[in-house]
Amino acid sequence: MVDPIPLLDIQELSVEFRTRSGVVHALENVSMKVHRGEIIGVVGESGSGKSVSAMTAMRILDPAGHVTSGSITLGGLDVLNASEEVMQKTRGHEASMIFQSPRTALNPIRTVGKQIGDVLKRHGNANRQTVHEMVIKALNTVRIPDPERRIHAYPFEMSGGMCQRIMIAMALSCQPELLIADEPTTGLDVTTQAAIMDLIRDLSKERNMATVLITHDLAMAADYCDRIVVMHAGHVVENASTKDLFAAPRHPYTTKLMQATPQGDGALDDIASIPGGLPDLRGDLPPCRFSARCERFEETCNTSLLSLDEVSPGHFLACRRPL
Amino acid sequence: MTSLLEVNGLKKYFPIGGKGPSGSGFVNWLRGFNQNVQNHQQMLHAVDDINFIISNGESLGLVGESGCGKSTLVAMLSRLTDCTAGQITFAGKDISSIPANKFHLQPERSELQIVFQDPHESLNPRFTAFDTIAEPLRRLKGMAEKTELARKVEMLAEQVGLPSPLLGRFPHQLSGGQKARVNIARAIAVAPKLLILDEPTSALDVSVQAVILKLLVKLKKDLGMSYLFVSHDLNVVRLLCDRVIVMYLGQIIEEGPAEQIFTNPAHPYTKALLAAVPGGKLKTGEVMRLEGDPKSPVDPDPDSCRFYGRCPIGQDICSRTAPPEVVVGTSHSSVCHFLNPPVAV
Repeated sequence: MVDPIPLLDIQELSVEFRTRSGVVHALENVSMKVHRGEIIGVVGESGSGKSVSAMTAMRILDPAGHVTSGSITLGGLDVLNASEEVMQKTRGHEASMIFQSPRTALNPIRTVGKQIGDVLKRHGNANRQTVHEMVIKALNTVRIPDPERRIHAYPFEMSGGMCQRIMIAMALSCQPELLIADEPTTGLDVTTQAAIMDLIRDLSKERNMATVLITHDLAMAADYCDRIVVMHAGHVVENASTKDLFAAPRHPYTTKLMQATPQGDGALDDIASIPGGLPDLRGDLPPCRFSARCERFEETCNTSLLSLDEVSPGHFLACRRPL
Repeated sequence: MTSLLEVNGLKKYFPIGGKGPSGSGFVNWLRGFNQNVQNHQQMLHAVDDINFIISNGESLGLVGESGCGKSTLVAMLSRLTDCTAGQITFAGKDISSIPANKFHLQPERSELQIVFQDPHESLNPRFTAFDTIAEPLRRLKGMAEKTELARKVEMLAEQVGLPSPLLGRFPHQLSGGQKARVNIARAIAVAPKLLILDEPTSALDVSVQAVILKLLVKLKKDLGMSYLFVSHDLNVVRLLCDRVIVMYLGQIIEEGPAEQIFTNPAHPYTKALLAAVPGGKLKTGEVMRLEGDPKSPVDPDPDSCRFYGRCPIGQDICSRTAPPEVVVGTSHSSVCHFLNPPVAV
């Protein structure tokens, strides 16, 4: 079922930000593959490099960020060396992104119908006659009730969940092959979150899209993703199918993250807290960036460079002393 | 257990429409004079007839979607806004009759404290952590002596696990978890009897959230406070609270012991809320999903269930009669037409 050639292939990607107070090593040797019809979850604390990876893949990284090594291939296109013109065509058409806060990502002074229409006119061969019909169709796919009326609404007239649906409609209006959803439900209610996530899952299965779901909620990733990539301080520490990961997590950070997530039943004492915070990403860092917070740390951990190795079929791990 | 806070028929309505000239009495009078139009001020029913009790040493959870009136209720309970109608009795004294802008003069101000939602936004950026924690001590307790103040603030910082070298820092120099600790230290500085926590962990990472939750449980044990814990994270509420109130569009639709509500929810909205929690462990049988948005809270129909239209089991009767309150278990009640009281209670 799964296509052997991944749609998005990130290989050994390193990104650094040159700031006044030093060089921040935001990503180091990050690799991940996304196939068609697959939903990949990228989880980690804030500051672990989830969004930077996604933005680099779309090449919308802040000018302060520099790719120092690695390669990104998106459906045969070398993203890092493509011209800006080609990238502009690719974005929206082959790959599109849903941003975190729908209210700030939408233009407040244009109606949502016009904003979806803009995308369609730019990428989707719509002209003035057909654009209205296509916008209605786009609103229908994201199950917005009464699209004929909603097309004239401004973002402030809609609820947070509705705005997020508009964002999804914009992202999906041109049938992209890759969808990157950057914390699509943060700040939304649980009921709305469930509706939005169901919608993303149904649409991506229906269209055989490759989907990257960036979240810090491990429980949500478990519900919706086929494969989970755990990131910590700019490293991929574990990459496995959801089933394998939850059955037998190998990296100490993954286990901690699972234990820290409230599960519903169970007492407060069962919840573990992860000591310390993310290390300062400026300057020299040990090969294992989790070593300062790890309970299983030993001298051997930081002797030489760590790499992401396949410990069992489809299960990748970067740890010297796995569980 | 004696009751610490008692809320009776609490209501908050907001008039819709500006106070500009078009809304003034004279213009309305003229308008009515000329057009014979019935002038009706539209009202947004943010909180509509709420009754509940918080006992001494109890932690009560308050859950519901955004826009259901949780924050308005919190603002009224903490006496930051006035209420339209109803009574709030705190430790035997009716505090709802005191205007909100006079409440800081009352001794109850220091007994009823609140930890606000966003730890980043709710700190004064020009106050160091020390000043932030010392402020309520200076203002409400009249503590002016420097060494005494310093000693007390350091003690509080130790209680919430904030290293004392950080006390000289400004909010932008602190991490999210540290800011949350400063917020909590500020609230407990004046030894309140009731602490209102408005989504204290929603802006934090899971790794930090666990630490803060444990801190809250420890503080409750050490200081004997009662909590009102407002959150939309149901898993967190379940961990921390003895009793839970579920709100929908300004009304309480279900109330009961936490374990009862989570294992055996009665109201269809509570069921949908639980089904929406990611993690899968709570899902039993069919998955319920809510479509659409809540009804408008502006002048809701008093003779209809407010959940009607989104409710998966809604029937004709729901749009004609307001649902009754049904006792479904030991101190567990819910508001719905289709509930059966247990055979023998």
